[in-house]
Amino acid sequence: MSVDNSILSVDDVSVHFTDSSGFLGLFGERQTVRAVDGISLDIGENDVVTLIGESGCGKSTLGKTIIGAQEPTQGSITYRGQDIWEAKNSRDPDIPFSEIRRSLQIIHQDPGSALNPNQRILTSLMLPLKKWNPSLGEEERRKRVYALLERVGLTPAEDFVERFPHQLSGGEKQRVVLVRSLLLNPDVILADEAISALDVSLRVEMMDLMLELQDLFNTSYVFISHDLSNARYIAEKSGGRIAVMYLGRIVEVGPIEQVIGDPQHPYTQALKWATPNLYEGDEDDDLPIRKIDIPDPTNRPSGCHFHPRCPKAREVCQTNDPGAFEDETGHAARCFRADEDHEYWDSPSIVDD
Amino acid sequence: MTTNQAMRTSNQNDSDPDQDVVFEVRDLEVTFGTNRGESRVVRNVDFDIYRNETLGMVGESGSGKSMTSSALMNAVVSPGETSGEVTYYPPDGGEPISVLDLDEEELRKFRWGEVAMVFQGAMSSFNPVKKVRGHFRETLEDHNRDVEAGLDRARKILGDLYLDPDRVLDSYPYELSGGMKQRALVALALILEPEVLVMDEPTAALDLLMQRSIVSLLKELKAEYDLTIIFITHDLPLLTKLADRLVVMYAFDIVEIGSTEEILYDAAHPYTRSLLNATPDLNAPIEEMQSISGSKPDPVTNIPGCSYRPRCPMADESCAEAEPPMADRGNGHRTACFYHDDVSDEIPIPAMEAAEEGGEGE
Repeated sequence: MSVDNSILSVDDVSVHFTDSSGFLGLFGERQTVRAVDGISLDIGENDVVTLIGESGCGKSTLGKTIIGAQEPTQGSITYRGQDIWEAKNSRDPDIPFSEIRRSLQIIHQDPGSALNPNQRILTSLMLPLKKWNPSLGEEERRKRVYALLERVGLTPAEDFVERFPHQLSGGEKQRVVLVRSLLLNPDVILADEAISALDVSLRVEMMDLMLELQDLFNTSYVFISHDLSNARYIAEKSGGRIAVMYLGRIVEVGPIEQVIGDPQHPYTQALKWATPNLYEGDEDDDLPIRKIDIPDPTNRPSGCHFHPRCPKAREVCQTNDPGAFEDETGHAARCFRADEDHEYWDSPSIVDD
Repeated sequence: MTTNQAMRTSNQNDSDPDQDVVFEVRDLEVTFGTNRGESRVVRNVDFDIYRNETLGMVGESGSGKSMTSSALMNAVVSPGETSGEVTYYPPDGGEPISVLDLDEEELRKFRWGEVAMVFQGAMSSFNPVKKVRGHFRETLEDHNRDVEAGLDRARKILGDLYLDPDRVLDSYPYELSGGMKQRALVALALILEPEVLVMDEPTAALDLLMQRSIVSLLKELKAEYDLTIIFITHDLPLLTKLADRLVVMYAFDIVEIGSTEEILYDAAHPYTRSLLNATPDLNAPIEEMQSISGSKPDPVTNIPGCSYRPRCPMADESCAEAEPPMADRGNGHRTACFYHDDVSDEIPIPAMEAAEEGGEGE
C-alpha cells in the first residue's frame, strides 16, 4: 500500500544472509536465510507503523534496513526521493548520506547497554548535538538538552545530567535514550522492542510519552514488538498501521482496527489467540496451529510458508504461494482465504483431525 | 462473578480446613546484608498452597515473588538468610516436612523428587557440552531411579509437549530453539514425578505464540500428572488463563490473594486495581489505561504503615500510622488495605466495565 507524501519508500526489498563457513565452501551446502523477502512499504510524515512477529521473522532486520543501517541484497529504499545506498556510494547525491543517517534514528531494546556507562548523561546527550550541529555553542546545546529532559519528565534536568547511567532506573534510562534520538530532530525513529524491558506498570506511560513527542516533533515511528497488545496500543492510539511478519514476509498489513478486529490470515488469528485478554470468558485452549515450532528458516516450506502450521491449510497451499489480497481500506493479507473466488475453496484439506 | 461479601469470617491466618494444603508458609522473611544496610526482600509473608491447584504469583520486578518461591525449596542463594516456617505436607497424609530445617542430603532428595523448579532462561539451565539425554540420565542416576523406565517416561512427556522425543534427547542444547529447550526443561523437571512444580517466569524469554502454547500444554500436564503448579510471572493476562488462584505481591509482601475470578472482578487493593488498569490487552479501552505513578520501594528502606501509601491515590494519615492487616473478604479472598470496601468505587476498572456491558448486550 502506498502513502501520500512518503518520507521513506521501501520497494521490493530483500535481505539475505548466506552462511560463509566451511572450507572454501567446498563442503556442505551454503545456507541462505531470507531474513527479509521482497517487502514493500511506505512510511509517511507523522506515520506510525508497528511490526510484529515471532523471533526470527525478520522484523529487526527489516527495521534496520528501513533506517539505512542494513544494506538490502535486493530492492531499494528511498528517502525523500533519494536512494539511500546510492547516496552512500555516489559522490554527489541530492541528499548526502550523512543527512539521511541523521534523519533516521534508532532506540534499542536495552537502554542499559545503549548508554556509555563511563559517561555522565550530559556527555552522552551533548556529543551527538556537537557532531551534527557544530555551529551551536556549548550554552545553546546545554539549553536544548535541558529543555528536552524536562519535557520527558526527567526533572530537575540539572540533577539528571550529572548522573551516570547506573544511577538511573530502567524507565529513566529509556527516556534518556529517547531524548538522545530526538535531539537530532529525526524524521523517523525505529523503536526496536523499546518498551519490552520496562516493567508492565510503566509501559503505557512510555508509549504515551513517545506519541506525545511525535506530535511535538513531527516524527514518524517504526515500532517493533513481539507483543501484540503493546503494538495494538500504540497503533490504535496513533491511528497507525500494523504489519504482521512471518518468515521474512509481511503476511498481513493494514489499519489496526481491521487487522486486530478482523484478522484475515490464520497466523494473525493465532497471534491474537496467544494474546489473552483479562476480561474475556472461557476461551479455547486448543492450539490454533498444527506445529508449535517455527520451520527452519534456511529451508522454508514450499507454497505458503505457513502451511505446515496452518489449521486451515489445503492442498493448494502446499504448492502455490499466495500473493497479497488487498481490500479497499488498505487491509492486505497473503492468504487465499482472503479471496472469495480462489481455487483454494475447492482444494482438499490437508489437516488431519 | 459476584462475591458474597457478607460471608466474612474472622480467622485470618489459619488454613482453610476444607482445603488439602501442600505448602504452609508462615512469617517468611528473606534478608540480604548489603553495605547500605539490611535488605529485606521478603517480609512477613503468610500463605497456603492447595494440592492440585495452579497458584499464580504476580508483581513488578523486585517485588519479592522469585525469592518467595525459592524459599519454598530453601533455595535462596547465599548470602540470603531465610527465616520463618515453610511446611510441606506430602500426599496421603505423610509426616509434614519443615523445609527450612532440612539438612543438605534431605534437601537434595526433597528438591526435584517432591518439588521441582523451572527457572527463567532455559538457555543457561542445560550444560552446553552434554546432550539432552545425558541430563535426563544423570538426574535419574543421582536419585537412584530406574534409568530405562525413566527415559520411557521422558519420551512420553516430551511427546506431550509436542516435541519429537528421540530427536530432542539426541540433541545438544544449542541445536534446539529457545522454545524447544524450555519445553525439554519442563520435561526434565517432571522426570522424577514431583508433586509440586515451581515455574519462575518460564515463558518470559519466549515468543507469544510459544508462551500461550506452553500454558495450554501445562494445563494438560497438570491434569495428567496430578501436579500442583506455582507459576510466577509479570504477565497478568497470561496468568489468568492458567491460575486457579492469584497472589499479588507488592513491596516484598502479599497485598492480595484470592481466586482468579475474585482478583479480576472484585480486586480490593488499590495496587491490584491499578495493575489491572496498567495492563495492556487487545480489548482494554486505550483512553482509560494508565501507568502506576511513582516508583517502587527500595528493599533497604522501611516505609512505615502501608508500603503502597506513597503511590496510592486513596492514602490518608491512618495508612501512615499502621500497617494494614490482611482483611478477609470471604471465599479465601484476603487483602491488606484499610479501605478494601471503598476501593472499587475509588478506582474503577474501565476494561472490566466495558466487558460486562458488552456481555449483557449479547
